[in-house]
Parts: sequence; structure tokens; C-alpha cells
Amino acid sequence: MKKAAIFFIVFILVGEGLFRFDKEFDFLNRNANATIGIEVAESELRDQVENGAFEIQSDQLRVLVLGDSYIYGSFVDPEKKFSKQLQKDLNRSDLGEKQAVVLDVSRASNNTSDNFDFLKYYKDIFKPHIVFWSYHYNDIQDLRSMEETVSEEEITVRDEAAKRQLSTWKFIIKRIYKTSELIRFLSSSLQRELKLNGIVLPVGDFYALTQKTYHEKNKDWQLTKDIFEEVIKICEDDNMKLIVYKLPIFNLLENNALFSKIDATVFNFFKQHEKVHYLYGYDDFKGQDSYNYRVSKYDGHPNNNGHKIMVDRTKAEILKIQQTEK
Amino acid sequence: MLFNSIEFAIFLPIVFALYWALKRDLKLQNLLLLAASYVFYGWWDWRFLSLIAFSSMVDYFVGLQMGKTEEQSRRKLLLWVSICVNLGFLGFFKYFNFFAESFSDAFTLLGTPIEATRLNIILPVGISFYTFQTLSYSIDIYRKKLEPTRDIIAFFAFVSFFPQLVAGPIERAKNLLPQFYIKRTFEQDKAIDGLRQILWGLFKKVVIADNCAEYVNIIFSNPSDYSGSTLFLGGVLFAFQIYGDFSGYSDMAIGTARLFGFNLMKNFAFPYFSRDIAEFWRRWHISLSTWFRDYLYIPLGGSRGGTWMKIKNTFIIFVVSGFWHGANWTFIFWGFLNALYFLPLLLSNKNRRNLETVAQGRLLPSLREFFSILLTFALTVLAWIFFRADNLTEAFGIIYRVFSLSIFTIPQYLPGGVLAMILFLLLVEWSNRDKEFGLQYFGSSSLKRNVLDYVLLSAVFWCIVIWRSGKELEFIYFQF
Repeated sequence: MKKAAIFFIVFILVGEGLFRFDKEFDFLNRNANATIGIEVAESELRDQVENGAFEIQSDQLRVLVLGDSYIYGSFVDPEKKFSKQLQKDLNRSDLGEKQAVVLDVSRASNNTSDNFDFLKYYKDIFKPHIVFWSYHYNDIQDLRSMEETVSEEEITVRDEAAKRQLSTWKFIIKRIYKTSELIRFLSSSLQRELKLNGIVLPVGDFYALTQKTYHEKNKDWQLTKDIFEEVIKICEDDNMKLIVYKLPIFNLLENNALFSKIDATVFNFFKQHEKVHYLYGYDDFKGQDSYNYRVSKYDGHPNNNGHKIMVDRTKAEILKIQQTEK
Repeated sequence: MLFNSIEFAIFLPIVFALYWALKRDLKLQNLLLLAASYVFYGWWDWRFLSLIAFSSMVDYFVGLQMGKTEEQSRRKLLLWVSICVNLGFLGFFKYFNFFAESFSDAFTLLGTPIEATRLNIILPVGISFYTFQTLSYSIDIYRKKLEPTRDIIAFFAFVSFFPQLVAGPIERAKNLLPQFYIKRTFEQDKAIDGLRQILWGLFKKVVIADNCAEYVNIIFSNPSDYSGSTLFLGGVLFAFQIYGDFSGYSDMAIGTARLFGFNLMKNFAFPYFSRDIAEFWRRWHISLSTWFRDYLYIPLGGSRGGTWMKIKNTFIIFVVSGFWHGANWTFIFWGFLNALYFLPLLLSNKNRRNLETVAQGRLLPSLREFFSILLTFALTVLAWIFFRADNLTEAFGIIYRVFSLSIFTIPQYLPGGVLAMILFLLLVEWSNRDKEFGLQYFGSSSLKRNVLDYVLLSAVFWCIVIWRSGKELEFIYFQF
């Protein structure tokens, strides 16, 4: 019994130590590999637009692409990335005299307010006819300004208050739960596996995002709606067509029900705005095997095939818009 | 089914529980092992189960018939039936395309180009392993070193025994088959030791081999882009990849067998601590080297017939061993190169001078031992380059760069984390080099030593959790 207890303590301590060591030193360079797609695509077109060298011409159909790494294509072959493929496909289809020019300003980890800033900046210098806005369910995160973030001192004060309310043991357990790297890893691994089987435990970020955030009373969702109201107004004023593409999560296609609350809330919002071309991305992947469209089992980014399907849907919508315009 | 897969993590406890629940009935236990082995193999491709079943059937009946007759010519005929069936399957599935292409190339060289007929055939996993295992049964009966079995379930279970079915160790009927006849009892210490060996094998596979593989694949996919130092580092990493991969599999196989009360033969004995190539080959893939020694080298005359005979037989055994690994000239050259390394030791009668464990009873090796180990390792790395390269031209290109001045530059990749993991592996194995495997319990009543053992066990476990490659890579030796 004594041996087992010693072993258990050693086991936990060694695990905690190694997790902390890995976090501190990124021992096998995993994070370095993961950051590969974070940079913005360095494109000639983007440089030209920013330097004022891009010439606006009447025979162009200009499309501005906004979004995060899902649409940027962090894990997609350069020639098969959404924007490249969309431009190629549009120019192969019947656009009449027009030449499609697609400017990709998507960037990994962009949220709604980043995309909004990009729109405001590029609409004047690129003058797009079409704004393609890919919406990821986590674009709602980190919208509020820095003033609202909690300072270190406030955390200490809160902790002190919590300590007074709880017994010492309960407080210690709670602290351990919050600060332990080992527990963090085990709990996120467990959640990740469960998520792949369509189960979400009522704790953690994913649960909060999918079940609690997309609510009428939620500040982040209110802020998101305010931003989109402004986006829609800008598009109307500047005579730009807005396509909003609600991204599916490509490794969870079989478990899309996890996002049903979000999907309904987002759809209800955009359905009030007739001028917005709302595309529900999951429609194109319904009943499909996520294996064919995801980057890996644990990564929801689309692969080459995923980008191809998104391009087909978007191209069809743009051609429809063009037909109506005529 | 891969040892490092979720499926196996579910499969093993179920079979284990059922197996020990049936401990009163040996026949049922064997039947369960047979069924489990067929499920294990069929998980990959059920169609090839018929191949194992047929091969087992042939050798079972050949064995029975041989046991019934003393007539030498009939016994010989039966042995040839077994050899032709087993090597016929192996030759067809593994070597048909190679021979067809080689003939075509040879005729083209002679000025009469002919088109090679290529067959689109899948190589059945583990065919080289179980073919050699069943062959050893027939040969041993022919030599009257083994009595044929009448227990068909035990024999089929012996051929398909799932822990070692797809990548060895290649067991001898003499060692493994009798274990199916006797009652197995559950021994806690043995089971714990088995679990430790599985853990160590898993560490070698998912932490060492799979992480090395990420760099090796990059470097070897485009060798002309890299300096001599990077290519040599690629060779070093491949040396540890293949060691971690293959000896890791063997550890998991032996450990798993121990959970069921079986003892499999040792397949690796810390080969990178060898002081010369002869010692390396006594410590690397022992079950294959000894198989070739017993069933090829000795029948060819071994070392009895003078110098030329020794040289000829040595080259035959090494080249055949290379060819066993795959139908490619790179493997044949790899075998040839090892024979060349071996030759000076053989001619100077020094091939059996390092029989005991290095630095026995000492913490560290002597300077001479240390440099011998380094030199032997460097030679094996050069040979591994041929093993890993896609073709001989590429391999010679890499060797050329390794021996250029760019060997003195800083490698373009310096995977510190992976190298630190390799160092950890070497330290653990060095400290246990006189034991069966790296993580074997060193048994002590001292609390301090026990705590040290707990720390080591925990560290290995958490290393697997944190630093596993994340890709469920197949074992390299599955293709052989």
C-alpha cells in the first residue's frame, strides 16, 4: 500500500514536471511547426494593392476574401488554396468580358473584428465588387477591448475572496485543477476524444462557445451582430455584395450537431438581412466522411478537397450574383 | 492491427481477460489464441488469412507424414514440398516483380530489350516472418531434432501467434511449440515484467522511431539539397529510427507474449553498444541471424572448409539476409557491405573476441571500448544509408556527399529534442545492458532505488504521452 502510494505520488509529480518542461521549452519544436501557417500570404497582388500599384479597371470582377486559417489554407497546396482556385475557376467560367481578381487578406487566428478592420482598410484601396467573408464559430472570441480584460491584481483579489468562501482543502484542489499542466492536458485530451464522438462535457472553452456564447444576451454575440450590421451597411453604401460563408469544422462533419445552436443563431441573424448571401458551408459536406476533407483527425482545417468544394459553392454564388446584375 | 493503435489497446485486455478465464482448459486457451491471432491478422486484410492457414496446413501434414516414415528419399521429398510451398509464396508475393524487372534490365543491357511483366500484388504483412517460422518446423523434423505435433490447434496457434506474427522474433518450433502443450500459470511478476517491456517498446517506437522518422523522411526525400553533415545526421537518425522501430516491436511482442505466459527468444541485445561488426550481428535481429546460421550457413559447410569456403558462405549469408529484407538492390548491397565489414574479423579470427557484455562490472567503457563502439556505429550508419535510400545511385550520391568537405559544416537540421531523447534511450539501455531489455526491473529492497525505478517508469510513460509523434506510423519491418 505504501509502495503504491509512493509510486502514485512520483508518477503525478514526474508527469507534472515533464508537462511544465515541455511547455517552457517546446522540447520537440511542436509549436514552431504549428505556427507555420500564421503568417499572412505574401502575394504580389496584395503588395500592389497596398503600394497603390494596383490598377482598378472597369473589366475586373474584384473579390475580397476575408477569414482565418481555414480559408487562408494553412495546410493546403499553394495552387489549391481557396483564393487561387477561386480566381482560376472564375476566369474559366462565363464572366463575359470580365476578369476575376481575387485578393486574399485572410490570416490565421483572425476574428470578426480583425476581419472588419481589414474590410475597412481594403475596401477603399481595392474597391471590391464582392466581399467574401468566411465565418468560423470561434470568430466571436477575443472581441472585447483590452479595458475589459482582468488585471493581475484583480485576479489576486478574486482569489482571496474565493479562498475566504471555500475551505482550505477545496481551495487547494481548485487551484491545482486550474494551474496543473498535467490536468489541463488530460482534460483537453479527454474532451478532444469525446468531441470526436459527438460528446461535450459541460466544462471548458468548447462547451462555453458552442452552448453558451451564441445567445441573444451574450455580450460577444451582441458585439458580433453590431459589427455585422456595420459591415452590411458599408457593403450597401459602397455597392458591394456580401457573401457570408459559415464554415463547417472539417474533422467533425459527422458530429455537426455539436454546432446546431450556433448554426441556428447565426442563420436567424443573417436571414433578417436579405441582401446578404448567406452560405451554410455544411450543406456541401452533409453525410460525407470527414476523412476526405480534414487535415487530420484532430485538426478541423480543410484540406485540398475541402477547399475545392468551398470554391465550387462560392463560384456558383458569384456567378448567380453576376447573372442577377445583368 | 498495430501495437501502437487504439484497436490493439482494446483488443489486448479483452483477449487477456478471456485467456486467463479459460486457464483450466489448455485446449480452449490455445483455440482462443488461434482465433485472436486470426482476428489480429485479419484486421489488416482478412483475405491473406487463407495464406497463413494454407501454409500451416501444408507444414502440419508434411510434419505428420515425415514422422511416419524412415525412408530418407521420401522425407527429403516431403521437405521439398514444404520448402517449395513456403518459398514459392514468398517468392511470388515478394520477389516476382523484382526478378521480372531485373531480367528485363539485364536483357536491355545485352541489347535485346524485353518488357517486364509487372504484377499488381500486395505483399502480405509478415510473410517473411511466418514463412521462416513454419520452415524451421519442417526442417527440424527432417533433421530429427523435433517430433511432429498431432495437435493441429497448437500448431496453427504456433504459426500465427499474434504477438510475433507480423514482425518476429522468428521463433523456432523447438522453443515455442512445446509451450503450447503445457499448462500456463499466471505469474504476476512475469506479467509486470511483460508490461514494462511493452512500455519500453512503445517508447522506442512512438517517441524515438516516429520522431526520428519525421527528420529522416525530409532529409532522404531530397538528399541532393543537404550537406554531408546533414546527410550523416540523417543516417544517424535512421539508425535510431530502425532500431527503435524494430527492437521496439520485438519488445512489445515479447512483453505481450509474457502476459500470456509465453517466453519468446530475445531479438535485440543492445546492438549499438557493439565493439565490432561481428558483435553487432550477434546482437541485431538475433532470431534472423541465428535462423540463417542454423538453416543456411551450417548446411553450406559453415566455417569448416577452409578460408575460401568461409568467405563464400559469409557473403552468401549476408547477401541473402539483405535480400530477405526486400526486393531491391539497396538491401542486397547493404548485406554485401556488412559482409565486407565482417571479412577482416573473419580472416584474422577475431570475429568471436567480444562475446561478453561491454564494460562488464564497470560504470563506463574504457577509452578503447568507447572508440570501438563509435567506429562500429559509424560503419553501421554508412550501411543504413544503403538500406534507407530509394536506389543505389541515390545511396552512392549520399555517401559521396558524406565524404565531402561539407561533413565539417553545421547540419541544416539540429533536432535537439530528438537527440536528447536518443541520449535518454542510450543512458537507460547502457545502465541495463546486461539485462533482457532496457527497462527491466533491477530489483531492490532499498526504497531509494525503488523510487528511482518509479521515476524512470513514470518518465517513460509520460514521455510517450507528451512526445509521441502523433502519427500512427506503421512498423518498418511490416514490409519485410
